[in-house]
Amino acid sequence: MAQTHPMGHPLLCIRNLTKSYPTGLFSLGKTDVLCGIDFELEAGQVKTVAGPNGSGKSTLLRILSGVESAETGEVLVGGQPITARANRMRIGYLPDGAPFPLELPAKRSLELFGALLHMPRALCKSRATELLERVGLASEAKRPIGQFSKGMLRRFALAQAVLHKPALLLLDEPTDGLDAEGFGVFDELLSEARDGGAGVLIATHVADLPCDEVSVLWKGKIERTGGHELLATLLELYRELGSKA
Amino acid sequence: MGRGLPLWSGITLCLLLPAWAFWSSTSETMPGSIAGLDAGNTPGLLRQGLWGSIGSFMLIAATWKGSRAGYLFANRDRSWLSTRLDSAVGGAFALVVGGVFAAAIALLGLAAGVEFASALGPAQVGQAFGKEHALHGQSLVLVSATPDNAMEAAWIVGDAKERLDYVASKDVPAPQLSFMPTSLAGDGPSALITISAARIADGKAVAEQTTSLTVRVRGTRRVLLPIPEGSGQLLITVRHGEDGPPLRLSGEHSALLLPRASHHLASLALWQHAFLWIAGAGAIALGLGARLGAGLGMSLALAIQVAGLGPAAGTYLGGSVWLDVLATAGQGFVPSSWTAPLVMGFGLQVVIGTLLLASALRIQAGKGRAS
Repeated sequence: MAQTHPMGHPLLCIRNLTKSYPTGLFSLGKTDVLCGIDFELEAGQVKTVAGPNGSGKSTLLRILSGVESAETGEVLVGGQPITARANRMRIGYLPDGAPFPLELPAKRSLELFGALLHMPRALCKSRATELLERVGLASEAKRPIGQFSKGMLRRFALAQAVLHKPALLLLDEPTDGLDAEGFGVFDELLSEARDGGAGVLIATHVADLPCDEVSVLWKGKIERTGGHELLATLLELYRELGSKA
Repeated sequence: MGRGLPLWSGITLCLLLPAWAFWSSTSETMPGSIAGLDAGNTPGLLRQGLWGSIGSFMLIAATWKGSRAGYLFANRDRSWLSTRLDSAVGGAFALVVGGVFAAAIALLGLAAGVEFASALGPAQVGQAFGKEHALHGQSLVLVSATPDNAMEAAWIVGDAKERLDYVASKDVPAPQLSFMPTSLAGDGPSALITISAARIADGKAVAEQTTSLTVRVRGTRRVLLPIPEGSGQLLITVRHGEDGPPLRLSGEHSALLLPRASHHLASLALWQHAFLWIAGAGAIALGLGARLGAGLGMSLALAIQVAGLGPAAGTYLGGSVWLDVLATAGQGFVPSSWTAPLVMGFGLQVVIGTLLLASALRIQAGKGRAS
């Protein structure tokens, strides 16, 4: 199920992306969340977008996944607009929080997600069983998701994000609430996705996540880009950027 | 379980209390019922009471559940649905259809429970009749046809006559006409009217039977229709006699009473009307909850249904006929089935609910974003 994209295009290409939300009395005001983001991601790469709370990380991923729409700018996946129907099968999204149908059992939810993505029924069932086993939730397959703990929800969220082996993985705080074993599961799934040719974009402020490049988002703009070592100096960087404001 | 009564026990109490109240009633004809009604109308009154409770409870439950589900759909489910659905309208419609089916099944279960309860109580006496309203709320003045007044008396305003498909059978009682004279002009004590039924073939009357009766302004009358032999459509006419004062008939209380196979069909008819009303309310509550929030969505959905109970809203909402349907069932009759406006009103609520839900998903399937 690994997806390919046309040669000559980066897997993900963002040009001058902006987004604002209405604020204030009668929503007449405006708060800029993303201010002209330019970004590229190639297949097989793992990149991290780091930043303090409110910097726009989650908003960026929500736009890339199609949950929100940008005001201006261009987002292309494999050379096609992000909203193209074909791209829906190529993107896997791990959202912040647990916005899932909490009434459904875990396995039933995964099967529903797969059905909505037009996965063949037999493949859907076997993949759901396999992933629940790998994320350590096999014994909870028939339990409603609403009864899961935070860590269990995060494992479930990981499973649903990679269910259809997407070409582009968008992970928003993927390790939030995970224990050591969960970290190991995440590492394993991440490596598998990368080795399968997927591009991975992680939004986080955790320093331990493996990645090829880090971009620091500050007040809606990418202020700094560097290697993995940049994650270790985030606090100092925030102070530096804060003092400039 | 330890905090209070489970929900199901509350629901059971809501249904059993009216059942107990009607079980202990006598089999005498209740005041206000149609004169001449067979004794033993307790099953009808039981249905009226239980379905009245069911309707009120289910309406509140449907609008609450619908608006809350719509709110969660727009605020929680959107995050995972909007990345997977091919079409926002398709996904929203699937949710609305699921809600409609759930309402149908829940009400079907309740209908079975009501009929079970009515079967346990005193048995209905007399043949079951279905009530088909004739004048549809209009009043009709019958006047004798004179050279100065060529208007032929008709008992369907805006239509010439009432047509009926009916084949006489020895084992099936004849239909009846039920009507209520409301006023006589002048000081006349009574008026003579003629009721005729003609078999129509190729647009012509091929057999006709008539019956005449004197009516006074004294409650509701039920008259056996004179049915001619044959199998063609029946044309039923009510005419004023040759002499006598003009007579006004109440539109609300005129009806054709047609024999039914069983009085248990009353709950099926009640289910039909409850379904259109409650499922329609739930469908629009889904959309309103998605756009306005659970509380405001429920309030507005309920307000729409309550407004439908009044005459100004016409007959498009299920609530507009609900009280009449309950009253008909309480009289021991099988209420009439859906009308076209009711089905249209239901369809409109489904469409509006779907579109409101779809707009909450904010999917732009198949469209590129301009750079």
